[in-house]
Amino acid sequence: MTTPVLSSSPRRAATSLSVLLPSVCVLAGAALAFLMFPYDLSFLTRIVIMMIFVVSFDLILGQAGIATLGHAAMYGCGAYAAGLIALHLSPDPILGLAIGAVAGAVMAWISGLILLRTHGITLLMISIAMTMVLQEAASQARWLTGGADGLAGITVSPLLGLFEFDFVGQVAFIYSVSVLAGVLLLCQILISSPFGLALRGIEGSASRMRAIGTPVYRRKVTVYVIAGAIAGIAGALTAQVTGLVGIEVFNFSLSADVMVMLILGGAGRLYGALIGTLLFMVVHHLAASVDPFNWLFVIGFMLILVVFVLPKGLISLPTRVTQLLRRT
Amino acid sequence: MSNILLELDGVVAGYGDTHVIRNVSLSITKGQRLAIVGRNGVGKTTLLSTIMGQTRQHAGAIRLKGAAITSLASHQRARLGIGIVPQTRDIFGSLTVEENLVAGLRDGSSIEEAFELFPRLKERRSNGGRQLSGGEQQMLSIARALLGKPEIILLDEPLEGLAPVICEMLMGVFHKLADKGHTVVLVEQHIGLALGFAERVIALDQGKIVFEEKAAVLTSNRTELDRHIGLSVR
Repeated sequence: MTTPVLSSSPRRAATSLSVLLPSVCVLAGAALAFLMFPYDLSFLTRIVIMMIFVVSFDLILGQAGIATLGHAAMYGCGAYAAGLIALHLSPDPILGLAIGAVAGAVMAWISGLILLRTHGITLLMISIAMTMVLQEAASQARWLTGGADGLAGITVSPLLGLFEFDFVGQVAFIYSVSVLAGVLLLCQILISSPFGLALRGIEGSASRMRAIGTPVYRRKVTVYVIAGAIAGIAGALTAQVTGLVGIEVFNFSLSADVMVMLILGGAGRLYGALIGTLLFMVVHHLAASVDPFNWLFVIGFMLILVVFVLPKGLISLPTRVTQLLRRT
Repeated sequence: MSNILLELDGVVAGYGDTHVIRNVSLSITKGQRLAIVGRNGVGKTTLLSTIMGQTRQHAGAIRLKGAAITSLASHQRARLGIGIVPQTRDIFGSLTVEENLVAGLRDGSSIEEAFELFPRLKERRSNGGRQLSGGEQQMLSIARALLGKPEIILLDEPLEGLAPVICEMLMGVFHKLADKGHTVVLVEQHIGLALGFAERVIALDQGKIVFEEKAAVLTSNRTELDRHIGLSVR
């Protein structure tokens, strides 16, 4: 699954570099942000976690062309699983992260087996319905989830037994950035492997991929499970960093926001997911601080502009500018 | 032991409830070169798609090496040894030539085999699928299908719209494949090319086999084929 695509040595070296590049960029950007905004680390941590979530969505929408509006299901399961583990079993953050990933993956596997047999509107509707069912279930199971009040008082032990989660949020930020860098590395390896190429082939023509012997349904379920695990990790991080999990983790608006962030940045390229998330979260933050009631207007306007002017997202801006310059 | 590789027995198939292929029975032996001819819209592509499992089969049976494959999905048929080069070529435009080939790799195959067969693809390995000429796209489509190690390869009008020099080169490749022992089914509207390649020719009309003969016989008596399918033989 992880066989390098390119065959000769210089090409292999180039591939290794391109595999590492997103993680290196994120680490460099995060180090800069850490130094420049030392008092906004909690907001920056939220952005980083959301980036993990959007990257997981990019795997299914951008790579395999699976459009759903229920990605919050896996995020929510990861959040609740990590919260419950921390409250009842072990406060170890790495264990919580692993359990969150497993919960997200299991949810994705169960729902994916049904969802991925459908297409288009049916797929969208069933994915929304599944998340609604989960939200209602979380609301009713008060004995387990705390119902509408949510799971509160989640605390985690020091990271690796050494680094206590501090009030300013430095450890939480570094922890989240490390996880994002790891996730990006995994995704880059995945998308440059034959498995990743098969996904892009499926996005291009599923029938053609079947004709060359690719089990399309199985590949889709596999990538859905991997994306579910990553979304579960994002949910688990949220639970650990905020110390709270509410039924809002299953909100439809969360799934919709994730799609908007990815479309803004550009689907199919991991950088697009990062840029889209950063822009959405920063604009949301600034616009909401200016006008807490009408901030959505700014987001909506931005989305319309990007979809019309840059249909492939902000990531395609340099190419678009170059094309325009050549024309003039 | 029977030498039959692929067998269709009373196959009725089409799209949805529509019947395009009507009661087709056909046997293809190992290493055979078969040409399927007929006018536009008689069901040639649908017949290949049916063998590949891409249409709805209403009746009949399809067997590969004696085992029924009627209920198998198309990816399972591909893995059992049926390869198809579709008329539309279906190159993945977002992938490079090399990535297109890797997408078709199976255990034991290497993209170097594809480059050996089509050196032009090696030169264009880093180009995107959308940046290829028609001939290069066809080479890529054929090479990708061959990387799946098919025992029988179905070629759906592979020369359509290509320059004569490319047609000649591709026909050379088809001969080479057949000489290596591949079973080749060629759907072709250019009867002269089909007769030059195949050992046996079948003609379809309205989804039925209306004529079947050895290519050598037709070469000496072309009016027979013309009478059945109304095509002028060049």
